[in-house]
Amino acid sequence: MTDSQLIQQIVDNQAGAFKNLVDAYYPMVLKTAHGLLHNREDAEDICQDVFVELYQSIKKFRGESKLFTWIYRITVNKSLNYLRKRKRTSLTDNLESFVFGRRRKGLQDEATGYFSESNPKLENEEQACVLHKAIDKLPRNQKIAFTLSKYDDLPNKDVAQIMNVSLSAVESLIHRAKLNLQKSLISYYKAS
Amino acid sequence: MNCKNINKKIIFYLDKNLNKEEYDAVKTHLDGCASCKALTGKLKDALMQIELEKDVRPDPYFYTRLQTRINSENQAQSSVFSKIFQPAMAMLLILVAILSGIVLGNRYFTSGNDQLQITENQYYTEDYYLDEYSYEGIQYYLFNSKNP
Repeated sequence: MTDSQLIQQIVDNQAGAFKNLVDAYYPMVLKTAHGLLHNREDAEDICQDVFVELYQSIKKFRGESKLFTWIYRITVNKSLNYLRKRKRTSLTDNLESFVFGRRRKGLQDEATGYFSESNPKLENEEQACVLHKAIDKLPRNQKIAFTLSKYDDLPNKDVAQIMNVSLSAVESLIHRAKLNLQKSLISYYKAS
Repeated sequence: MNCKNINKKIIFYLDKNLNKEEYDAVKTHLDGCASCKALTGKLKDALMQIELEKDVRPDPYFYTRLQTRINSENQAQSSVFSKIFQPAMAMLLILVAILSGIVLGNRYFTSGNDQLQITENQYYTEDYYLDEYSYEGIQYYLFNSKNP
């Protein structure tokens, strides 16, 4: 079944049509959201938001881009909006702790003594934490391009369509993202 | 190639994104430099996390929860009209009740037109209380009494 047939079935309110859409695209949306947010529960919430929006606005889809491109764009936008909101919340939390003198436990506080034990599972968690921090430090477009390329294994051509930029721009973004990521990780490992 | 140059190419070496000449040069350096080799190992382990995180198992109950949410959002939208209409009607009724009370009160409690002239310059005005009995001042009897 093609995307246009699927969309037509959803518009016609055919039974099971929307479920077919969810079954087809949910794993992809989950992987993308998880790649950007690094948290399973948050990724699941974003998946719900994405499919609710799809349900509400599928009739307005004009077919100017491919369906998967449209879905990826919604997923990326919702994930980044969520990250922005989360950042604002953490800024107010930091301000609160500054004003009221309460010291919030940061990742390094939790890591002290915790990661010092030699435990492979903890080492994996530490590596994941370090990697996530390094990816989160990337500029917005580099982060999107890197995530779509590495987590979703999308070819650069598809990443360019999703981000609405040229192929050479995507290649440049991925190249710079790798350089920045490498720089962050190497400086962390040299310091530790 | 020195360590500083190698450090800029490790991630591309791991991704096999270097041309053959550069790839061989990096490989040769890593075979001979323990610190760069250790760093490459750590970077490789960190990037392996991406492969582990890619394997996200979908939730089998996702569609059920999604359907519940869509149904509840549809119900919330359909009751928007009643959420606006009912409070508006309630406000209107309260307003009508207040205005009616004011109008009735004004009609019942008359202004000072019912005045009884006592002398040329004095007037007696009847006061009304809520129990609907007028206050009968002593002067009312004195000035209107038929008894001498």
